[in-house]
Amino acid sequence: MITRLLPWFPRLLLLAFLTPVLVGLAGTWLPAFGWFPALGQRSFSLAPWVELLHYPGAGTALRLSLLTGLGSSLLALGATLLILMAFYPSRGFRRLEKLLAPILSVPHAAFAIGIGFLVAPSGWLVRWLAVMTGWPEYPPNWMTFKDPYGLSLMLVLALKEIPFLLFMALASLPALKVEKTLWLGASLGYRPGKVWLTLIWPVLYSRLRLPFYAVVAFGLSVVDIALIAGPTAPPTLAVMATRLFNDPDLLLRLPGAAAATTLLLVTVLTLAILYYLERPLRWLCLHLLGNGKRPRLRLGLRLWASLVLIPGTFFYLGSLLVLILWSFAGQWRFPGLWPDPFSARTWVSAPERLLDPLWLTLSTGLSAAVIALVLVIGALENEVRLQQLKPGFTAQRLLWVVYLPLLVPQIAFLFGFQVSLAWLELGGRWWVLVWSHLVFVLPYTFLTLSGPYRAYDERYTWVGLSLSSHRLATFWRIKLGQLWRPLGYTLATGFAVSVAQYLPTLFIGSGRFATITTEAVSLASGSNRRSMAVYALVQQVLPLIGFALALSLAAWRYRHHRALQQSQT
Amino acid sequence: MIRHRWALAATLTATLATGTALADTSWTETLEQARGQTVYFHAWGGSEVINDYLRWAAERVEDEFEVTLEHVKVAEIGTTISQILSEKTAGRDTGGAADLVWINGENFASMKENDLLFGPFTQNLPHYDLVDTENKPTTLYDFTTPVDNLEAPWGMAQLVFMADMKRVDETPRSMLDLLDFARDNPGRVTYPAPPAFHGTTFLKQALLELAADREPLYSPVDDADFDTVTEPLWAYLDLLHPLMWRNGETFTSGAPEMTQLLNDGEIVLSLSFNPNDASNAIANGELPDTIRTYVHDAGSIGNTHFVGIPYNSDNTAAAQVVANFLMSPEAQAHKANTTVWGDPTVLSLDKLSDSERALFEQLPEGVATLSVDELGAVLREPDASWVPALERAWQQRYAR
Amino acid sequence: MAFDIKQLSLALHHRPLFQPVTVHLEPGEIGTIMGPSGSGKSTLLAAISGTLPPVFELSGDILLNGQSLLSVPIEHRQVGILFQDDLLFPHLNVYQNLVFALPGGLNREQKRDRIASALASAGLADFERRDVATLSGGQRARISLLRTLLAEPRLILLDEPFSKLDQHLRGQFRDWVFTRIVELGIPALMVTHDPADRPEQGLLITLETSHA
Repeated sequence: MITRLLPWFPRLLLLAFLTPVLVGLAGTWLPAFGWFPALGQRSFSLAPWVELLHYPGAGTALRLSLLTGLGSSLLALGATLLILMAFYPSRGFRRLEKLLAPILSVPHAAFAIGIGFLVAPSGWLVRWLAVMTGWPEYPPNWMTFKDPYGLSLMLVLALKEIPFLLFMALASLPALKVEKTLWLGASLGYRPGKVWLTLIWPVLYSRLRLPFYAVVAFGLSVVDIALIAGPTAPPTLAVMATRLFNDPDLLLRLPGAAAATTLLLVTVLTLAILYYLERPLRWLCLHLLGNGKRPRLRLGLRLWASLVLIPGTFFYLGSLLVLILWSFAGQWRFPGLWPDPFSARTWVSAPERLLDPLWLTLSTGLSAAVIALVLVIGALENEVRLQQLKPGFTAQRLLWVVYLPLLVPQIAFLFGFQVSLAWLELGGRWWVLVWSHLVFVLPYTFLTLSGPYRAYDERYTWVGLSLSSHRLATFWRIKLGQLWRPLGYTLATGFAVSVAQYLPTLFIGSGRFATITTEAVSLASGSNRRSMAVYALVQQVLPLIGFALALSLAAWRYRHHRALQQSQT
Repeated sequence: MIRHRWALAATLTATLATGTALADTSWTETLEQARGQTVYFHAWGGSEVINDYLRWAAERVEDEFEVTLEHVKVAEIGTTISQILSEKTAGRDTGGAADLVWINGENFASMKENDLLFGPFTQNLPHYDLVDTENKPTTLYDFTTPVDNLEAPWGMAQLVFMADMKRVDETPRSMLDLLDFARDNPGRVTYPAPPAFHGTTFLKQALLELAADREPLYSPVDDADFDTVTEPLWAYLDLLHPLMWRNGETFTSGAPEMTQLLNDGEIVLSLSFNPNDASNAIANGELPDTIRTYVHDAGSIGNTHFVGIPYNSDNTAAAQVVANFLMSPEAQAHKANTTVWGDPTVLSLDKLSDSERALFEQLPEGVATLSVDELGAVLREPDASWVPALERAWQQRYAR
Repeated sequence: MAFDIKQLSLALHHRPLFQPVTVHLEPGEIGTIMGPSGSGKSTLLAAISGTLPPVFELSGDILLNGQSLLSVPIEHRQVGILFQDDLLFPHLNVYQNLVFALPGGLNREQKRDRIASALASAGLADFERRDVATLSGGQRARISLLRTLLAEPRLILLDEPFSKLDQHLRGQFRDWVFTRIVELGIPALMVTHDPADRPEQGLLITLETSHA
């Protein structure tokens, strides 16, 4: 019976995300082409595009978006490669691997705020300098953050993306038998660097392609980080589009829609170029291999990788520390290294403010994570079934579709989606909120679970079936029973993704739903760093608790089973 | 309280004073209808001080009127207006998500122009009679747009500057003075990038101070020779920018960031629309007590902020009850307390009973609060049409 | 309980893997399938156990006690499989592994008794609480067989079951397996590469590559 339901899971999956995205896109394209009946605009025209074209700074904004979005993604990809080349596989890497989940759950905005406080001229670094040397007396007028060229934004984005790419790479690397390849290369006289570039990387990249595209799309369309770390006059195109959407002059929403659509076009175009550049680059890689040269040159890989890793770790730890300090700050002025005085005032008043949003964040996050998990397990089981039917079947097409919501800029479809929800009288309902979160939770759930799930040895199922004559019992007790770790990890990931959702919560929830994140973002529009820090920390701690809970539950479940005690996530 | 010296006021109000005598019976009905309704109040949520005040208000209206008040904390009210527009686009003319919105100025003008507001209704609110429409003309004209009873006055605003007296001997007395100040303190002065609200206000203030003739600013921008009128402003900014924070190559995103930078010591001057902002920030530990408030000699731009009801709200009765409560002497006095929020009242103390007046007279004096005399003249906002024109011209020059 | 394969042939894309096979096994009889790599030995076992991918075309019939197995789903065939890997469930201890195989309708006491006596018969008394990961290769192999037998199969398939055991364990374990199968009186079919695995006088089926 259940088997007969399986083919429906991928379809349900598709329905669950494609509908909002497609409906939303269409709903944004209409105003971009002049159709906005609520504002009395009832004729199609290119006027919004012309207006956008003439909007001051639009060209610069687009250039800034490309520079920061694409630049940061390439930097992150390069850094990922560098780190892998230098340290994989090694014991140190194992440790790093365990740190990745908590690092990934750091909210974007909190991270950017933290970094700002580290590197700004009044930030912690300069304060150390001031305290130790007596200079400067006041913050210097340096351009170390929010520079008009977008460099600081690019660096913040790159730092935020490296852990994600590393995480995705680590999921694929075991299948690539890196150690063996390196050994083989060494026996032929090739240095690891060359083996990586010519043999491992091309294969790894084909598996990293979609996550990398997601990173590029994110970099091009990110709003919250760009507001904190990006240039202001003009800002990036995504920020400009958001501004136009919020402008008191309501008619500016039309060029705003055009800007959002431009962002979508730019994203598609960029990804297409990246896709078609792949071939020549791959050829270049093989060419390098074919030339037979065995350069003696030591690349100093570990040194270079350390130059990425150490500052990276420093920024993550530093931004966290600074947030904690701010949350306990009374006064904290330049050049003080520590708040003076410390004060628990913000924390003391936090519980009554936090309780309701906390509850909603939990219920929404858990629901979305569980539903996504069920849908993804269904789709993956269906894949198992199809593989049985057609050996060698891979769900490449499904994967692309699953990634779609991550490749489409949120502002390009959320406004349109909001209109259609209002039309269907569905706005402000809790289950619709969960649904909108699902659109983003599903891809990550799929990404996290598919690896370990596909690696499961189906012969256990056959043995189980032949022994028990119960399909459900076999599936539940034997298969899922062995997968607690990846299942828990996936749930935690899904929950973390849901917690982080800002725009969907705001747009789809019609403002009726206040989560920790919406509260945090609205406070970030104010001036009180203490409240900001408290919310950012809570926002950060929630996913962490999820991960810790998932991992310790699995550890507890398998405490008597040595074979499953080693982390395999 | 703030005494406005704008003589026009009296005549304007006379024409607009609406018959609130319509009877208490209708208000009793409204109260009856409101019982059990929930009001989703969309208001900027960037300040815990304001959030706490609204939590207090929610408890009060729950107790007294059995109305549930939910503060929807938005980072920008523009998102709420987008929401209402979405609903209108979809034909949702009832059951809208928002029941009350905190607005003024351009946002009000847009909502009014596009029929997104319920009302007129303020004439029916009992406490509206206490509003000082005679001496506070901005309660009737919101950035020159006639309010027409479509939004209820909530608080008074006046552009003030803040200075860190630990590092500033003498505060600038005018825009021109500010230029000298910037020369003496290179990199320590800045303003938010328009179209951020406070940034645009800074431009308007500068234009009012620098313009050879203010008269054209009070007519639609299309009637004026924009380039000639604004020429002194651009000349001024061209001189100021190289002396500013980050050499004028980048700007802050708004007043909140200015406050942070002031606290960090990166800049020594900031600005606010709430004359009691500094006092309140000092009281809750957000700013050091060396911060003082000042205004330019020529006076500064003042306005009023309001609450309006979206046209498609289903809970207009409860929304009116809340709006009325927010104008009550109790709520206004609580709001004016610098340790609570410090937002100046819209009411006329002369119209209050002795006990009500006492609520205001007992309020503690904030350390950085200016007396009415020190606050000086309130300058009228230029005609609303100047705002987009100024913003655009600014962007064209400095944000390309 | 007799087992029959009648004129069975398997084909992939209309290309037969081997010449049609006919086998008859009496209860307690152990048949041995041999043949070169790629001749379809494991595929034949998959066809019998019910895990054959549908891309293969099957003709002929497989009968257990005179009833065709072809339309019976895997979980109702009552065919036990033993792979070269023991495939003990790593998240269950020895007792839980075994109890999973026991038929329904037994109370706790009965389950405990059956497992205890099964373990004792394999020289593994008191192993119930052990984590399967802590067992030696030989112990795991024995438990894996016990588990298969406890499910009371009507036919046992052995897919190179001894190939991963070291030489000295191998003969011992083999004899033990065959004894148990004969005791139970069910037919068994074994795939192997090693001629030494074949029981004396046992039926030998050699798969020959088809030259169609």
